[in-house]
Amino acid sequence: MVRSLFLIIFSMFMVYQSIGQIDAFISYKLYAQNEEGVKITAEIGADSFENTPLKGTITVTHDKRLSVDPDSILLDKKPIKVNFVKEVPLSADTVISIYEFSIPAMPKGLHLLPETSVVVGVQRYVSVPSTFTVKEKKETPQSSVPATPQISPQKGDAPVILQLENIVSEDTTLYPGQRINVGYRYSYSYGFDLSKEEIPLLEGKGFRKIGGKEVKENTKGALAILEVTQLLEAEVPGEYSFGPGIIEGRAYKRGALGQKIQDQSIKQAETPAVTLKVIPFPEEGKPASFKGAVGNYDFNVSLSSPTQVNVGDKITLLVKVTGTGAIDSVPIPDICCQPGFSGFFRLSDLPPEEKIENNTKTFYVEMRPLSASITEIPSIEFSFFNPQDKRYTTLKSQPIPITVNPVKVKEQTPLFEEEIKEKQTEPEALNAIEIEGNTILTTEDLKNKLFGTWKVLWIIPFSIGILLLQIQMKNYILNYKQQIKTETSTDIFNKALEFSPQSPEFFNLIHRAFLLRLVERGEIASIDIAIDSLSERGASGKVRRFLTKIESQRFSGKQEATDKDLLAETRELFHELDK
Amino acid sequence: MKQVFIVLLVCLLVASVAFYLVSPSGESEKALSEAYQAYRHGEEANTVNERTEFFNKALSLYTDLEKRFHPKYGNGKLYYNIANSYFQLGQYPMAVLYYYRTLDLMPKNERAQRNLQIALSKLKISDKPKDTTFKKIFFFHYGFSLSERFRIFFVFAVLGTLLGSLYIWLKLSWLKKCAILFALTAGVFLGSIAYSNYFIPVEGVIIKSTSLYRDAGQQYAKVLKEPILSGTKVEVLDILHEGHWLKIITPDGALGYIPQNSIKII
Repeated sequence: MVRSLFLIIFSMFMVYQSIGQIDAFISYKLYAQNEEGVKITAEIGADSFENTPLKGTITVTHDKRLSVDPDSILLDKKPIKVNFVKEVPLSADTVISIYEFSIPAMPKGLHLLPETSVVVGVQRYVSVPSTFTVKEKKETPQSSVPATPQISPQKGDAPVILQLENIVSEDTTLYPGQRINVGYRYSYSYGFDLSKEEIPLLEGKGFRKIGGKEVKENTKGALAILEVTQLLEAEVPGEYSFGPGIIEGRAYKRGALGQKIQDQSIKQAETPAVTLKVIPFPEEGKPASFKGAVGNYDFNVSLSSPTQVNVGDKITLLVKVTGTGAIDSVPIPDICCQPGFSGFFRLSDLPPEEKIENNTKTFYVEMRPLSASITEIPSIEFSFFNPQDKRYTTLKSQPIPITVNPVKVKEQTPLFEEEIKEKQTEPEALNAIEIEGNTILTTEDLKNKLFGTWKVLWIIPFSIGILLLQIQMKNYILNYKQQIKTETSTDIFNKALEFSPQSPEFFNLIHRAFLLRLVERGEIASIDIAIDSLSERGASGKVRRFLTKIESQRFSGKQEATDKDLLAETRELFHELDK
Repeated sequence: MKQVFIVLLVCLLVASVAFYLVSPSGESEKALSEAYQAYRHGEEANTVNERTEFFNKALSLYTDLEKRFHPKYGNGKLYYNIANSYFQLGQYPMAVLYYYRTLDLMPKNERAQRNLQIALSKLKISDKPKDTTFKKIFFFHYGFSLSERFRIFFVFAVLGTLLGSLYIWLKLSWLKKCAILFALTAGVFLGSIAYSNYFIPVEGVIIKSTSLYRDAGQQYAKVLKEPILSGTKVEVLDILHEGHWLKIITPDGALGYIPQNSIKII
């Protein structure tokens, strides 16, 4: 690609020869760049020798509407006399102004070229300081065997220029399916053997390349311009960064015998990095029929077959999409899924034929009507996204009236009996049914099975919960029972003594204490026993008599003994049972 | 007071009967009956035209019901009837798709298996299920549909919970053993359900013959010289470009990309 520029170079070189005798400056180049795109390069020729005045060039790349003031040029903040060499147009708006200057001779070795400044328009711009080497002057510069052919620094040679610019449209935010033209503009004088070429934009990583690279060559003044571009289509949303474009190489020209005379210094040019952003289609207002068409289109559906057909006949629809955008990527609307098609038309299994002419893409959709009840080809919906107004548009075609006739049965002509018999024995056109038939369904067959869906998983937390709850409940009940069990007859008896002997609490507790004592002695099984059921003999008999006595005393209201006597009697009996 | 209660009860009864009569189930019953009759008429038709018309009507009614009820966890009978209707209309790839859907819900249904083989033979595809030892060991996974496994899981989980509850109160060792056994069985079926949902790749049927591309786009080279036949069952590995392209693997192990409109997920 870039190699083709070598062919131009020789002719370019001849043009330069005719411009005049300018020293060829093989230099160290640095430039300053500001926001407005003004670049200043200050260079000293590489073939600079001691005891000889040193010659250099100042290259100012600027908008052609801005003027460069040559009297404002300062070298190391001191005015310097410069001679205007020429102005080279770079693009429609940009030019390169070239000036030459001279500084006094310097001893051999490495030196610093201080910063250079110049007023462009109304603002002063400064270059970056750079270094240059002054060589020792030899008494016999023309050796018998020259080491490497070089560009002769003859007066009148054009300066060596190598520049690289990005070509990217202003809007770097794209939607999937949207296209962008990217590339680089090479501007150069002389021929170049490039030793390094990093041009990531042309690789288009993350994008779909549409077609091959496009190369445009032309000349602007003394410069050769080479534009290499590639059309890319955004695919997946995301942010795609492309590193700086870098080219590096040595300038050369052809000698009288056609041999390459190469520059010793390496020239380099670099462009800023570029970021392209691909954003997803907005979900808001996205029509169901949208399939990814991006641009601005018109949509038309027509019938290329007769409007009167039989059931099962093939008909061809012409679906035309016209407009601006990536027309070749426009997908066909999903006709099979649009209302009125399912069950009434059978679409071909093969993808429809496509044809692209200018800005129109035509799909040839083949289908067959399946019923004589069809009266029209229903409206077809087509949606696209317009990236300019960032909105979806849905277009609907007009329904196309058609008449679908049932398949005609051939008219019967009267036949003789023999012929009728023969006819009956002929195989029927109708194929036999090959598969086992349908089953009779009820509404239950339409429903999902009860407990047959993901919803049944609620049983897991429910089961765990109910088991844990039961374990808790059981523990609670056991603890409660344990508490009751550990209460002895003595505890209850002592509790009863805290109440007045006339109180119902006293009687209840004494009653429980005596019965529990009998349980503890093993005389009865449970305290849930009526007094009358106690034995009349032994300890049970004593308890029975005592409890009957205090009960009758309590309910009769007659106080036969004092509280003190009652308490004493109670204590005595309780302790007796303790033995 | 008692009279008011009786009046309210009668009103409630009348309202429930009226609701039943106007409820969609009545309409569905009618649609099912019409669809079945249409299919029968299609089978008994004397002309191609009649046959197509009746089968088409049956298909239209069945697919309407499918859209309304979405019986993804049903018994598969509706899918079977849809598959048959597609078959009779000569749309074998769609028939194959619905037979596979039927067999997902009724894995042991022999009629569906036989009809599927006929449909596949029409498409010149061979797909006989292999009876491997692995399948024999994990019979519960391959022999039951997902909804059946849900139901079995549910039954065992309920039984496990009941026996576990009884054990908590009665402390009988056989109850404990039974409860653990039921819980483990429920766990096995739950594992099978999880495996089906999270580990088995989604399967689809090619409904429109398509080429298999090296990447998601028609500008890429084709993996196979011949296109993939309609009716072929493939595994879907990935979905790309907002669902416009699918990464698939064919039964022969060829890996590539196909456009979304040429496949339907089972």
